[in-house]
Amino acid sequence: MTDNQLIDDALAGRSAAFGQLVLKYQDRLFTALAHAIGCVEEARDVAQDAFVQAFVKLETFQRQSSFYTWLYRIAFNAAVSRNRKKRPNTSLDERRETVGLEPTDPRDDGPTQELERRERVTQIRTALDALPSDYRTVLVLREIDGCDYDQISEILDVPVGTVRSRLHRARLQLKDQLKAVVQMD
Amino acid sequence: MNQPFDEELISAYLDDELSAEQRRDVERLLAERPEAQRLLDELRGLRESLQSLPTFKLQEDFGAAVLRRAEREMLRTGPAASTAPSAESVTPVTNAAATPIPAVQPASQVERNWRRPAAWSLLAVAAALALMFVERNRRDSGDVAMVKVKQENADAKSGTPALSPARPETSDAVAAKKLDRADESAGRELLLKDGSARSRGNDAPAAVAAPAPKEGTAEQNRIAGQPVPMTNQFIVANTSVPPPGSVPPAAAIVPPTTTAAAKPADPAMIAGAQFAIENRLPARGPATPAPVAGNATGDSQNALAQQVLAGGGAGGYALPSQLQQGVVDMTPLIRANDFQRARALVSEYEIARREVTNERDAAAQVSRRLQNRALELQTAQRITPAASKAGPAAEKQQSPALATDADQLLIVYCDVTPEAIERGWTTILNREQIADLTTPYGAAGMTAVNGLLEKAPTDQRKEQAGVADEEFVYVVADSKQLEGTLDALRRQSEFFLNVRVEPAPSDSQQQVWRQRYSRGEETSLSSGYTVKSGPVATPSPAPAGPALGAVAASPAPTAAPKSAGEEVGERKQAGNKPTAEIAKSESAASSAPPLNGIPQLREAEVEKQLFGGGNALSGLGNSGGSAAAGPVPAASQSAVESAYGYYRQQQNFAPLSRSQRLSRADALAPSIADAAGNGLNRGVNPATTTPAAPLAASAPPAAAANPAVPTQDRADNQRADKSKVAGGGGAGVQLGVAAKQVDADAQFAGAAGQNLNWVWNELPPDYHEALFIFRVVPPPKMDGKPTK
Repeated sequence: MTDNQLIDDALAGRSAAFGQLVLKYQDRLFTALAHAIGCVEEARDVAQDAFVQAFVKLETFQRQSSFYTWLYRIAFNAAVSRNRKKRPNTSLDERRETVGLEPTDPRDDGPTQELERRERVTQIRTALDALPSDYRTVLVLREIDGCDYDQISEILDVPVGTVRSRLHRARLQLKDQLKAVVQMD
Repeated sequence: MNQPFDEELISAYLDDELSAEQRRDVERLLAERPEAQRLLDELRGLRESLQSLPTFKLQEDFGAAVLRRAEREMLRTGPAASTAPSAESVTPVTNAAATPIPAVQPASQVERNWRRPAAWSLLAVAAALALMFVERNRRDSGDVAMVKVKQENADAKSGTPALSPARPETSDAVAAKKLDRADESAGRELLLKDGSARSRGNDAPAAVAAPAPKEGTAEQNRIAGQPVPMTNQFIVANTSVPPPGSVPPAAAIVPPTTTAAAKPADPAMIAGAQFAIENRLPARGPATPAPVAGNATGDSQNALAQQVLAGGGAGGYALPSQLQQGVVDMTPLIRANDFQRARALVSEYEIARREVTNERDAAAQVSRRLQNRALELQTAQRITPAASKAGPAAEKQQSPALATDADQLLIVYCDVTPEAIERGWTTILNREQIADLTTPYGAAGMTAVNGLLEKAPTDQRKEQAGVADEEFVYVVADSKQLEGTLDALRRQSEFFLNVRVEPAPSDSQQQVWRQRYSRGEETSLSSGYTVKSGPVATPSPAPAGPALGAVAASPAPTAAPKSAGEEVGERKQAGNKPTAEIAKSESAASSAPPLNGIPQLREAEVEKQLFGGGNALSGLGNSGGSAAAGPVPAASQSAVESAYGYYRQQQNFAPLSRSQRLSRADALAPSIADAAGNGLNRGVNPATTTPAAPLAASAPPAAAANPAVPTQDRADNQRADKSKVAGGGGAGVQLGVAAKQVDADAQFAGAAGQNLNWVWNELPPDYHEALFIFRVVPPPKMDGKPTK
């Protein structure tokens, strides 16, 4: 079923249809939020808030954008309005101990490659975390979530030109941060 | 020379976000300019790196949790009252004002959906009440009758005669009269829809309901803002036979403008109505969205309950038809004596009710979280941006300062095991719905806390304190939350070895303190601001908890008032006092005359009681070394364990209830007032509220009964000073200090509650700022070596 059909069903009172929407987008949204916020627990809470608010506000969704874009916009606002500093950020590497979340990676490397990959991931995460949140968010939306400029513009409520320039600056800054992190290691 | 090129174009080219013409330009640029190609390669590598980051999966039950929360949210706020980010802002709205959003689901449908849990709860209440009534009727002649009273206005509209047409009566009076009649007719009265009544036999069930009104009529009126018509109401009233001549039992329905004050409503019915309201209203007003009715807050729930019972009124609520429908559903079952099915029906309702109750509790938690969030925001606004790294002076100048009045700050000192912070403390905070404001603001928060206390740098402070580690947790919470937290700290004695509460002394209070000292009323400062050595004129000086450490040498009488931080610093620095000075102080203390007729315990006696005869502190003190390094001598280890066990034993004191504390506070009001005037005697230990058994056994009975015995406290503090002077200690010393702390607190057991109350009475009633200072004390291991 398409998103619109599921939305219609949910609006008709069949909440299970909305459950399917949740199932469809939960991991994508969660991953994007986890990387954008830098804290899996917070990302999970924000994702839940976003889905809840989407459910509550579903009748106001005018379908002029994709449901996911609308959902991410809600999540973005929820993340902003939320006190992100209420709890100490749990690093993504500590996710296993905290919430039992398991990152998924389809690749099946050997031990050495796995170690190198982990190290590389750690470096990227460190560099990403060092970016201002605006830059981090736009990078995550583009590179990890795969949103195009129009979607990013809609989610962040900024012009497309701003998205382009911000994305470029974010990349340059991430490049510098990554160099610094690699040198530190 | 090459012209600089627009790097953004390279980035956009990578993203395939260029027009065909731009794309051609960039491709030409890439062919001509190696640096452009290099940049593109770098950006491409960066993309691959980012895309190599792992993805995450949520649990499979996430969707179910979302739906549960969504239902709660709708229950709490209604479908259109969400506080979520505006969904309208998400989708570009064109002609939003002119073009109404086509509602796929009618508003009434939405309304009915979100009302469903509340309706079930009401139905459950009605069912339970009805069954209770029936069961009781089966047992005896019937204590409870369920009658239906038709409101006078409804009677007037329908043309049926009122129950008491001759003179105007309030509905509860009518009900009371009917109940009297019901009592006269063997306990039950059935009122038919037209107001007539007929008696029923004792063996017949008596729950009767009118046919349910058209569903949604009242609700539709309410939604449309129209006055809700009076509807038939069910009343459950206690029909126990009143004494002759007494006022009849209060009827359930109490019109808000007539007899509400004179005749309280039936508790059961009020509870039912409140239950219904609580499922639709937030617990408190400002932090949560207004209810659908829009004119009620949690504070007015009682009044609203009566309005509900009265059939609407200003609150706009009427007893939902489901409530009546529930009774209707049960009525034939009851009439047929089919109690099994009726009971099954009640069970179903009860399950639904429990679900709603859980949701209500969840909503209450949300409400509290919102309140805490509001406090956080309030506090955040009072914290200036983070300090720069331009050096200590600049940091001090620019450090974020909590706009905290020291008078309003509660400081809780706590010796804890290493596990306490990781395991116990978080749980306590979560349970009390208290936000840890230290962590959110990170370095800024800590700097603010440090600035608040104006303490020495952390490392120096730790060194002076001779503790292995310290944790600072700054919270803002209301009194109940703080009380719950302190109670929890007391209960978890395996984690929190010692709890002591102080308000931060303000400048003005310190000024008073110093002035008194300069007048010679205080002869020693060696045990901090808790000591009054020598004879005291006042019969019962306010009790005092032990100070954190020793206080520095006497300040000049004309010294300027010092801040709380300076005060703390002075106390810390006292740990560096020469041993001889301490010894002299101890000597003076031990030879001091008895206070209030209570002889002082000598140092050796105290240690004997504490450590079973071994001079534990002396031995540990001689061992030297810092707290974090240096093994504790094996000979002292048993004493450490003994102290630890002793301390544990002391934690088992039965707490005083709040009323007991208040009562004692009243009794000790003069002493407390004296303490307030002095700015002294601030130490309390809510963890210990009754005298310690070992000391009570050896000390005169009056010592246990009289909470104001500062002598022991002084000795203990001096002993703590001695241990610090001797090298700061190690775990054993800390445990010894902890044991000493409990010992002293036990002497002043009764004072703890009063002082705590006094502190809180001095604080604003709505909320408090509290700084928890945890001193991590490694517990002894079974193999005789302290853990770290």
